[in-house]
Amino acid sequence: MKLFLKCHEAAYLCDKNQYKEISISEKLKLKLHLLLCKLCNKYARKNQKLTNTLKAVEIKTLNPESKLQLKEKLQKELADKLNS
Amino acid sequence: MEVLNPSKWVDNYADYLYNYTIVRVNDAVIAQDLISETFLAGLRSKHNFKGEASERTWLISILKRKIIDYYRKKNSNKGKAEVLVSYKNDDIEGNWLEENAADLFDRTAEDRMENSELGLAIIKCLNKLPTKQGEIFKKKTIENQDTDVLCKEYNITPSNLWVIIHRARKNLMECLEKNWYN
Repeated sequence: MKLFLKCHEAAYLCDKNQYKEISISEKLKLKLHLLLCKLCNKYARKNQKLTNTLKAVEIKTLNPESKLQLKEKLQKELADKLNS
Repeated sequence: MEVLNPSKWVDNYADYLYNYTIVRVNDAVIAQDLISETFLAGLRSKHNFKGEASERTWLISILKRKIIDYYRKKNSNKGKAEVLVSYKNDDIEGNWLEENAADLFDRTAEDRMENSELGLAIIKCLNKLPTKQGEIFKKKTIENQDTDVLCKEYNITPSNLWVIIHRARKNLMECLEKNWYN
């Protein structure tokens, strides 16, 4: 496989790298590209910043079951309102 | 002018309200109850909505009252006012005042509040993503689901998935750049 990546390939690997889903050889190629390409380097830094931010704040999501329950409650209340 | 759309409330605001509540009551079950009460109260007082604020701001104002009510009830159950200052150890004489005063500058509490505000900013940005893009991004990034599992669930190839993730990340970076870092 070739050593030099195109920018869109680098972006693809850079995204996958945020989830630790790239191989060592891919990582090396990515590093090499980032050394040579200013634009991708900027993207990589922003991308890492986003990952760090998301990790730091620990966003919580309501689980799907609770959401469904909430929806049903609301639906029922809406229906009752229409009937009354 | 804003109009209310209750059938979309859960999809649009449940996560936002949940994150807002959880840092304030620190209990998942109570947080869920408060959100459920907020939505129902919102339905019942629909006619009071004047359309001046956004739907979310309006729901938050109801939620705030629910949280205050919750603490009032909790404190009245105890039958006494909560004592805020406690002497850590009566046996140790000395700088108890300074020791207690130091808590006022509790860094972790401050960090927590700032983080929770950043968290709310992120959820606002997440809600602006196209539905499927937002869903897949949340599952992959916040719930840490496997690429393979997600691909099967949505019937897409891994490269489709990474394109979606890429778009979501770019949208989020842009949105946070505009609304938070500046």
